Amino acid sequence: MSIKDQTKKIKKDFLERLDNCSSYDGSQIIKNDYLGRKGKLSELYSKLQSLPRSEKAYAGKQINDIKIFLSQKIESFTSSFTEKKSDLDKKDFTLPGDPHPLGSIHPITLVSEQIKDIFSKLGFSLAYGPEVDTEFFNFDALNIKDDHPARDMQDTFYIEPGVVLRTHTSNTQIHTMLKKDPPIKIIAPGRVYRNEDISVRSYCLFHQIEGLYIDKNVTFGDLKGLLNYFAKEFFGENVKTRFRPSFFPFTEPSAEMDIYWGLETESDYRITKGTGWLEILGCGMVDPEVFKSVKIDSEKWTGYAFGMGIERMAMLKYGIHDIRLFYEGDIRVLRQFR
Amino acid sequence: MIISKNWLKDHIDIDLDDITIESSLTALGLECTIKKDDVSYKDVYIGKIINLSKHQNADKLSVCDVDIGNDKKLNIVCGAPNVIKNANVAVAVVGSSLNKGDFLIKKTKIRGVFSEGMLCSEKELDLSSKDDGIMILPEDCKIGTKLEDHFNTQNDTIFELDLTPNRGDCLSHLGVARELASLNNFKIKKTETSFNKDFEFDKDCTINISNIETCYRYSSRIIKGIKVEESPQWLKKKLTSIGQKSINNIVDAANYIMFDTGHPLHTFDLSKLNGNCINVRYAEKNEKITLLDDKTYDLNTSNLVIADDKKPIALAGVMGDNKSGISVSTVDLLIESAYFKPQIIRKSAKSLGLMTESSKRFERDTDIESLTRNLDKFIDLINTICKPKSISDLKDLYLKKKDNVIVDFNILKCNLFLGTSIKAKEANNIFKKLNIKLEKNNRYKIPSYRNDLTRDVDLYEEIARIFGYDNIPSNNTFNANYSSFDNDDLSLIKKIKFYLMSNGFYEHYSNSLVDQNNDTIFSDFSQVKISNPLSNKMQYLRSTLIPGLISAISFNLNRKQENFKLFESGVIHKYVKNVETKSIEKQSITLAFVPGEVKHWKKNNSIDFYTVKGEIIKFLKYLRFDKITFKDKKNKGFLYSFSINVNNVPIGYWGEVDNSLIKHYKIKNKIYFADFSYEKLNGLQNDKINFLVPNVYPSISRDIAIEVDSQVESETIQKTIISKAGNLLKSVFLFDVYQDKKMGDSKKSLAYKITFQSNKRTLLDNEIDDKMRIIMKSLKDIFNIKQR
Repeated sequence: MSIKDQTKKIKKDFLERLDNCSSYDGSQIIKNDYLGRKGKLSELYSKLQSLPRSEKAYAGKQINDIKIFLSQKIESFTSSFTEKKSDLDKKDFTLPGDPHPLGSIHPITLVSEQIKDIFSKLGFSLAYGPEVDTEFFNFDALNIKDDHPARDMQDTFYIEPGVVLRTHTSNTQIHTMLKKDPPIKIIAPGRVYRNEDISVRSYCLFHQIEGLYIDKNVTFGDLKGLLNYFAKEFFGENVKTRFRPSFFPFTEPSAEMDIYWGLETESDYRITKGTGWLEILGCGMVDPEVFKSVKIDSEKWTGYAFGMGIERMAMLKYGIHDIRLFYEGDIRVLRQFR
Repeated sequence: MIISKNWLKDHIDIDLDDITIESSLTALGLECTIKKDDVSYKDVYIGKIINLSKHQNADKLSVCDVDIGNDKKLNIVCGAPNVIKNANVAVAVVGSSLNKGDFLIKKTKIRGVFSEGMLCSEKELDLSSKDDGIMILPEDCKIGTKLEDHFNTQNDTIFELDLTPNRGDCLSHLGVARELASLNNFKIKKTETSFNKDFEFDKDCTINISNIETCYRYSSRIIKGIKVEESPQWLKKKLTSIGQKSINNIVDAANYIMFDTGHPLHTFDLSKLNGNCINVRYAEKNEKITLLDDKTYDLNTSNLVIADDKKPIALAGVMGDNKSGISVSTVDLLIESAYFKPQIIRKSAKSLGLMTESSKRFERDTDIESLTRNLDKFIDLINTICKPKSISDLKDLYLKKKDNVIVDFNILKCNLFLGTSIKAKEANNIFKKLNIKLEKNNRYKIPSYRNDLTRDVDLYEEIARIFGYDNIPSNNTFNANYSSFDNDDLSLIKKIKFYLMSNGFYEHYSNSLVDQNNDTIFSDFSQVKISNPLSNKMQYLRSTLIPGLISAISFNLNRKQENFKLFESGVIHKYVKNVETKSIEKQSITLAFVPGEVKHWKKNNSIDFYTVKGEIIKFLKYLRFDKITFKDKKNKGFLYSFSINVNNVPIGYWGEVDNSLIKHYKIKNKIYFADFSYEKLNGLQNDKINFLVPNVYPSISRDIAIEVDSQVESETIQKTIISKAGNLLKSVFLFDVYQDKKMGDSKKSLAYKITFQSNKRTLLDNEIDDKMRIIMKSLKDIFNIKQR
């Protein structure tokens, strides 16, 4: 067989095999069989040596042509695979995505919403009172008489005689009871003010949530049940609570609820004054004097009230040590709360 | 109130450990903590000097061989003159600290001799100012014990009570002892007094009470021939144990009676009285008094005073003057044990801005029945500690009796109120412990020292207290009556806050007490002023949220934070003269945008005018507003600003702050604000959704690019296109704005995609071509545009 015939046969066989090939790896085997060091074309080249000088040039061209043809064919066949592969190779999957920065919800809002959710579930509606109010709503109607030392329990900002920045959200109790007949079941969140020097532990304002429930036959045991449930929801199932007698002019009996915080660290000792217990909220049965001032018959209706400081709850929950951090707007603080 | 355990033992035989006392008192409502001795030293031990030799290189130094127990001996160099063999001393060893940790003891070499610690003086231990030598401890103390343990076992336990203002009776050791007794069935010890009466009070003094409504009872005695001197050790120790300074035997004795019984006594130097009358009266106008604090007070007619024949000598129930009191030269005394009406003392002390241990007790009401008992306890004490020459008989002006307080108590009602099932017998038992006596038929007599008990609910609390709050069963069922449900007016705020967070805003809470100057930059409202502010920087209530946000922006820019967004939702105040509270409060929501370059590998970015504009529209769309328009509107403090309107009703405004007005914040970045009235956001919200079936016919779009004078606003072109496009127009979308050198500054190129669609049929190309021709013609006619 002449070189020409041989190249023709090689071309035919090659194209047949390539037609039947469907994978990159397969094409590489074919490539090796024809174009490799021990491949078919290599064989032809070695035959070239034995040809007479006059034929050598022509045959050599024949082999070169077929070599170029085969290489191109293989190249175009494999390119469909290799092109894709190299594109993906170039893509850096680890580059950062487009920036869509998330903002934050203030810890006071977070805690306040959590508390609102717990009580809303139990049928408490939301009520609001004004921040600037008369002494009647902030003090007198709540049985905080001017001639009693209880009036000094809170340092008060005055706008003018008789008009104050509310010192607690309890003014909302009075506004609500004057607006609406029992049964009443409200929680009242809001901002309150105290004329105290600003320090790590106190600020001239803070936020409270107040609760009030008035109905027939409301008992002190109901109040305990409610607040124990609240403590479990807020602090977790294993929280230990205790109630101890206290005094608020607008409740009788009055109580404070503590949770057991533990005495594991030095800071535990400091914040619990070495007792392990931490005061969480104040509460009690609505005092008959309060009912009298809003003209609700205390023989017919009884009720309870409670109130807590939101900053305090947030400080406990997140381990924030300085109350002033709440009002600086430091993004490095804020962005931690979502 | 500071209470000493040893002192309590004067009243009850107490066999409880400290922790039990602490928790019992807390459970009774007297919030109690054990006061830790606040020592400034740490790890200081008691050691014994077993050998002593002179320092070889220094005459004044000794080298001591000190046994600190546990078979440990230390070599310590000491320079104190009183160092002596076999003395027990306080040893700060290597690792101990003095002066609250500031002074750490290390092993040192003193003039060539190693010293493994330090022998301490009282001053070095912060125990006293004594520094003339090391502290020598008693012979019988135990070597190797920690110094604070040594003092503790010798001393006492001190309790700190945080008392509520209704429990004036517990401002005394007797009161606290009574509380402990009620829980543990302790007996209160009776105090016996015995002394001779040598003369008649009336011979030396007359007492006049001008208004019995102010002073129900005044009892008094005179003692003659006393010597004012240092108090005996036991008395000093008692007072210092509760943190009171010892002054002299007479003052200390009076203070002792006050902290013991709760009743403030007052002592006058008889020789300093002008005339021989004690007058209890209101001050007259223009009267003055210089009190023990050496300040002179202008008295007013609500000040009750004790006066001699010439002038006031004490502000009744509050403080004596600086002349009539006890001095070293005092020989004869008049002692006052009086009952003043609490409201009168409160008003009087408050009007002069005073609060004393005495006024605190009178304000909270005192035990009128205890007056002569306390007086005689004082006389008895003086009699033993300074042997007076003579004592007068008792003068007891008891002009007005307080009514016995009798309270109706029904155990059934009590149980209904508390949610308990306490038996009548159990309740009576509790009352007995509290010294509340059954008169007859459910009527109970309250002891004279419990002025806080006047009503049935007060007795419910007593029952609950002794029964134990923690023993009252917790009711775990809940009632909900639908008529108690109300809508939440501010419910939208929560939705807004979480939306803004998701869109990259940080929520800020700012102080609503502001500096008026900062507030008025942005606000037209008059501000509500506080009459007793903390400082003049916090004298007004904010009338806008913007300054609070600016101060947070400045805080963050100073800490190298840039390109951020903040928001605040809160109450703003506006002064209104003819409103009772002088204030109208409104909920406001303010968004702040602070640009700053953010580098990103794809595209560098920053907040700019158009970011803000887009964010505002998205925010309002989220709140379901549709017809949103902006109109130029000058707002205070802004470089330029726009009103934000929904259906032509303004709901807020936005713009860029004029930085020249807030120079004091030194902010270089632009700041944009959008300010909304919550009321409007909430009120104008459209809850309706108009559902439309999706259009099945295809739409046709045409792109046009036009060149126009640069001052022509894109919105007017857009409006022209809309007005000429006819009712098949679906949308006009500006997709490119472009300027190049060829056009120059005076021209710009705008590119629009205009889309047509019918909901009845498929549109034909040539009818749209017609529409486009009409549009282009009017754009050429009106704006002289060039099509590109």
